[in-house]
Amino acid sequence: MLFTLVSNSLLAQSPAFVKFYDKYAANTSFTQVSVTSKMFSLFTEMEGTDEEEKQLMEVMGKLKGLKVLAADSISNGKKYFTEAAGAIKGTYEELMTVKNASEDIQFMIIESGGKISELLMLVGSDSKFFIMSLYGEIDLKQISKLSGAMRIQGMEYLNKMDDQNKN
Amino acid sequence: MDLNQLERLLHKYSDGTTSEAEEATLRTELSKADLPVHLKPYAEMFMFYQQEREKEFLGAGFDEQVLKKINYGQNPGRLGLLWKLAGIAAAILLAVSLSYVAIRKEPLPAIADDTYSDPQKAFEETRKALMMLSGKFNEGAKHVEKLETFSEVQEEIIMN
Repeated sequence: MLFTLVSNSLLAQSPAFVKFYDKYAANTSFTQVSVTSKMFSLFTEMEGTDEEEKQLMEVMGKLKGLKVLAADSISNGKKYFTEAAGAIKGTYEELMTVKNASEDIQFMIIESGGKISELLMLVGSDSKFFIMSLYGEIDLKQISKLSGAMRIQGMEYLNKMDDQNKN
Repeated sequence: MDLNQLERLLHKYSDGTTSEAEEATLRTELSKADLPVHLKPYAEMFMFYQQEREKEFLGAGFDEQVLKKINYGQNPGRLGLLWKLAGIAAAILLAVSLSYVAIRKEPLPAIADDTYSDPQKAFEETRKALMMLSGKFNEGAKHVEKLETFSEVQEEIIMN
């Protein structure tokens, strides 16, 4: 009991997510990726060679933790999607949900004072499942920029949000 | 007593072959005041051993004392009970913590560990994850902006 308390406080990612992550991290059907703040601090010593890498560095420089659980060829991706969504319910605010023909995508955040401290992305399709938690200081505008999507109209709202934060 | 005889007895004593009667003789002879000087150290030694032997005899109250020590704690009173409960509590706590550790499938330290020890590899994986996130996010934003829910969330965020 004591051990979990300690480890959770070290991670600082929401316990609901960590619990779900831990449940499947040892499962061989899943690929798991965990990057800690210590590793992120090493990234800052690297040199970004192009614009994209510089932007990546900028985003990563403010991160404290990244955890990914992904399965590429499973038979019941949506089942995991539902399970994960249920497991973390109440912990996060829903930011955006997309349902299209092939997959369900959910973006969830924990934010206070206009700052997002954790971003969770959940993707589920028939054969795929993906959950990712980013912890640290998260700037949606910067994340959106990474895939070069300045043209997208959704940016307006992000810009607006940014202006709000400045005031 | 003849001096030679006395010395012979002392030798016998030091060999550990004297009888009870002979030791009794030694006791009387060696405690005499006119003992030759060269025998004084032997006399002291002999007396010392005799005294020590006396000490090792179990005293009259010995059985009683031992039994008292054995029974100690059988009728412990309040403080004893507290100790017992503390012991049980400690054992339960230990068992619970250990079983918790045992139930976990992966070793505990792995939870906080990085998947990659090579920063370059970790960077690549992080890049992939972030690019996917960014892509999906923009894709989602494109779809979602037409939906009412989006403006609701938008308002919520801006208000916060």
